[in-house]
Amino acid sequence: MRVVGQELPRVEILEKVTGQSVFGADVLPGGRVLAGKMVLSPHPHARITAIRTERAERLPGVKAVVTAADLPAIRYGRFVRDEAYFATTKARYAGDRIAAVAAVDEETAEEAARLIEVDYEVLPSVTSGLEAMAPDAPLLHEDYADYWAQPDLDRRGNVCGHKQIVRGDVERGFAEADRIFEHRFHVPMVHQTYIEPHTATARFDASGKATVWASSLALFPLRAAIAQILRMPMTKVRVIPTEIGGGFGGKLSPTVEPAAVVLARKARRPVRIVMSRSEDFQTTNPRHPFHLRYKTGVKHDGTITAREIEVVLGTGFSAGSGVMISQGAAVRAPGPYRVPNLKIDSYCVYTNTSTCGAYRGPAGPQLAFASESQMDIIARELGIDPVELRLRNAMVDGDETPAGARLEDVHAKETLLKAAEAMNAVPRPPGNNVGRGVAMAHWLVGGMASSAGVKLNEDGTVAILTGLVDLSGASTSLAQIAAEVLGVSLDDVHVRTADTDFAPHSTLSAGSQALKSMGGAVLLAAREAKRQIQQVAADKLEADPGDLELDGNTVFVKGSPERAVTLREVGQMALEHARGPIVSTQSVSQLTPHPAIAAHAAEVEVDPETGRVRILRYVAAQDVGTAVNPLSVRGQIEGGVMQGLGQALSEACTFTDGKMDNANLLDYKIFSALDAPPVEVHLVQHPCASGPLGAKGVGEPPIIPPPAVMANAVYDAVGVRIHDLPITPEKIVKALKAKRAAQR
Amino acid sequence: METPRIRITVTVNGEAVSEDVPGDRSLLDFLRDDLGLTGTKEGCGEGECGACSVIVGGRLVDACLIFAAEADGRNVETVEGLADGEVLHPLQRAFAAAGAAQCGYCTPGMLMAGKALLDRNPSPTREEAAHGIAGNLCRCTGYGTIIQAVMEAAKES
Amino acid sequence: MRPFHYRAPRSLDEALALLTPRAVPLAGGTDLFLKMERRQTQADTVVDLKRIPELDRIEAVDGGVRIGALALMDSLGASSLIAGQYEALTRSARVVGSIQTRNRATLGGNLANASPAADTAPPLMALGASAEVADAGGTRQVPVDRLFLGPGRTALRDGELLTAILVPALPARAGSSFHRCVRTAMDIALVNCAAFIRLDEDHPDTVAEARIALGAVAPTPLRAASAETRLAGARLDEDVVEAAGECAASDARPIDDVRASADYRREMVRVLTRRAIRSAFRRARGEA
Repeated sequence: MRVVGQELPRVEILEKVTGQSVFGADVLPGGRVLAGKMVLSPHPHARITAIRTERAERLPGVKAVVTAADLPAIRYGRFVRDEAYFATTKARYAGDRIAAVAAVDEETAEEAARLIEVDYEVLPSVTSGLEAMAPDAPLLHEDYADYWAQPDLDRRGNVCGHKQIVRGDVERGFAEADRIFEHRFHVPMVHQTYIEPHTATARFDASGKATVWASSLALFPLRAAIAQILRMPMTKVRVIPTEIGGGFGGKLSPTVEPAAVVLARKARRPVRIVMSRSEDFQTTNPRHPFHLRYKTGVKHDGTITAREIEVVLGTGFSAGSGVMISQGAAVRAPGPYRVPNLKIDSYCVYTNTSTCGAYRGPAGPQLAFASESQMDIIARELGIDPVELRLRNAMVDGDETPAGARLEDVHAKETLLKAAEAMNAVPRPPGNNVGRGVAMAHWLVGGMASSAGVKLNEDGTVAILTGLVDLSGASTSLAQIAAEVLGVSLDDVHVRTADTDFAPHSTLSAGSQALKSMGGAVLLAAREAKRQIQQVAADKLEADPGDLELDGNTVFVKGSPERAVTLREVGQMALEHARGPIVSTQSVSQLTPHPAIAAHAAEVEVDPETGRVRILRYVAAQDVGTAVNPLSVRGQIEGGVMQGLGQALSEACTFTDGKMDNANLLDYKIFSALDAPPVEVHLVQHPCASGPLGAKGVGEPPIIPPPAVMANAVYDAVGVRIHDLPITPEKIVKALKAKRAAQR
Repeated sequence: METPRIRITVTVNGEAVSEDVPGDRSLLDFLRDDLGLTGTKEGCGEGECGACSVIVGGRLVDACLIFAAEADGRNVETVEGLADGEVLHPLQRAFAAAGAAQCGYCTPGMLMAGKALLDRNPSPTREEAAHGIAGNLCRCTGYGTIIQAVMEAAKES
Repeated sequence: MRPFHYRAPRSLDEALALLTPRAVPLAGGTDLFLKMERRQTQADTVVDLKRIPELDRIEAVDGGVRIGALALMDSLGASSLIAGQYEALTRSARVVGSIQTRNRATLGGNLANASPAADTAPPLMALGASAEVADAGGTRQVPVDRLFLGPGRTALRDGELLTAILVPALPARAGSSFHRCVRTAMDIALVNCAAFIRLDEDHPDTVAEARIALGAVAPTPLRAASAETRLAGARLDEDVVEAAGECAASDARPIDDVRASADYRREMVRVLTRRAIRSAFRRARGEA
């Protein structure tokens, strides 16, 4: 291939390095923009007895105040209709939306927000999923039984979804085992912490049409949500994408967009809402906290005979995507291993926090931390090398997921060996308190409804039209795919992400499937455009269309390159040709899922006195199929590793009395350049049958193993096992103390 | 009482601008809202993320924590002034080539951090480069490509 | 923010005249700006000190170094005058926040803000420094030891301004050190600790004088008195270092907060004190 497989800078890179990219807060919608501000519940759980907005409305400079009274009384939710945009009778988390204001400037809007008086009767609250399952826990949704929900959803009290998977006979599996291990793990909530906070700008014109400039990963679902919440037809809602300053799954669900629209409607002026960092931490869609119990039976030789797994996921005040994520968690809980006997219970439980969402690799790091920590424990107990234990149980082509889907293109063993080999290539440095750890995880990449257009311009250049918001470099990869098919260079291809009025329906930037879905659609559209080009050129060249090849911006007869016509000529000829302009829009959906494997290894040094962990080396091997753009692929892997390491060592949203106590970047500790180790990336490339030109999804896998890798490396270094993320210096010191006390 | 306005004169990317600004206007808002230089970003408004990094009087600072009035009479450099017309600054070229900008939101601040570093230390070690950008958070790249780009730019300039 | 008048006086006298009880001095602003944004101050006037000439000078004076209150952390960390003798201060100035912060934050601001975790406070306490404080009537000196009354509260009276820090010359056979403990590289100190050790003229293993100061483990930066007593006159071996760490841990009065537990902080006082003593000792002996 000529263009696919090349390390090419992103197509939009010049705007980004010159500061010209237009992000959410940079949009100029025309006219003076009002500043919008949300009024949020300070209480995690409280009955609302009165909301008084008069004082705010009277404040000079205030142009609109809105509450639930300004919206149709609907509840929404894909799995359970349990969420209202503004709270009416009850606030269910500290941050629940009560009202919103728009004013001439930020200062006035803040003042107005303070002037809105809300009477609360504070109720007992619960932020732990496990505690919320207890029979005497405060009930978040008293009327849950009356809510519409997807059929077959097992709901009871705060449990809004329970998925059970049974394969084989787990009791028999344990009976066959020589050793049985059972451990509990806890993973707290962590936040995506993109650098650009949530932002929306909206205007409402005289025809009743809402235009929303959104920093969103999901244009079409956002349009649908706004249309639903405001009860408007989709023709009256236009969502225009801006550049997006990081998302990682955190900008998939509507947050401030509906408020901006309803404020703009009431104020008859454009409104912009920019979340403060603290609001962003408290009111968006972070990673679900998990309580996990893993019980595993093994033979003396390390063969797994059974796994019984219980997962409790705290979803927040509404089910959101938690139901789907808990179901997905059940499917991936056993890890990339063959486990003949399984019993998995995965519970999605209401808690008094913001609704958790689809943070990069949802459920992945939590499951892998538990599963891969336990694999390490088992290896040590059985006296088997941790890599060897994993190889003995690793899944292979033809194995099935717990849900019964047959997997192909599995490269677990090769990927793991690559990571191990890279780590072992350098001898371990001398000294105490140095250790190594390894972990492996898989992700399943599906493909969602997507369409894309490809057209040939009259000058022979190519335009791609999508509705995909690009984060990972997908636009560049799409351009590479089209360039490959049409025989042009990347410079001749222009990719445009259009808004919901113009773009063909496109998938979300999520689930590592953007390239698979959109790349699939672009590949089909480019191939169709190629067919049309061949048709037009065939007449001119007096050849059979099937004998024509495209390369170097020309169309030529196979074997006779002198019989050629340029794409520019074809572009012009097409206008005079009976078949007309060359353009194709193609769609895909329901693509066969493929597994993607990440195997990581690390070397750490632990200061046993302070508990500080220094990462000396980090190796990430990943099975990526065909790397369409290795520069983007490595970028995804390095970035994913660093987010995963943050979750491993320093990140956690913590709560006191139901309120997040570290909703700022001083106390929510993401890695800086001084914390970040260099990441050695190794790509395992085998074209994948179900990906466009062999590509696999790459975005999520790298974030999954790091917490387990760190847990295992820390154990190797100083002999203490941390079961509760993050692995902070404080926990290590405490565990070392306990260990010394036990030895005495 | 309203915060009184103050006349300030600031040289922004080589061009002197005089404006009447309220005394409580931050340098960041001054650049973005009054001058329309929206390349400089706000990420936290608390001096923790570095997205609003600009160079004032030769020093890298967070524009969100400074009053515009404090910049009176000083030189301010922002991402918009980095390229020389059509010709990109070596840092911009290196960032593009290394894949050091992904979502691009931290990029303007990172570039200014890189410039402040190279202005002082034209040939930094890897560790010095990491220190140079340590006040700028990036959530996409893992920093490796950014450090690499700063080192490459140092070689070029 | 609440409305306020911004003033940028050109002389110290002018500044002092402006410092009424409702006025607040602005140095680097890294703390003040946010306090104002969060409406945590009632000030109606902001007096920007950065236009006053020479308030940021670092100069050698008789018997030590005088550091202007407006000296930047970055200048402090880079100063050869300081690095030559006050290792603890150099180290602390180099770790305060990010480069962006060190390019704005001043020594005077770091102290006057009276955060229990201020990184420059323990080194100055260990080095026996004094604050020079001025008002319209003249100047007085306050030992840095006695500057802090509580979180955000100092011994400065209404209308007084911290103008400089005076650090006495480092005696012969003396050394200082600074250690701190953080969660990630860019962090406020969970615990910080500075040590000053002067060795006996005749017995180079024996401590003639020791000062240990701790931060983030009490409402104010704190001298670890019992640790100092334990060290004074002692032959410095590992047992003494261990015991001094133990004493410092008992001198500390840490609390649990979102950053660390009291237990961990106390344990880190033990660890950091030992490390600080060892490094100061090495420097006093001219070994590092």
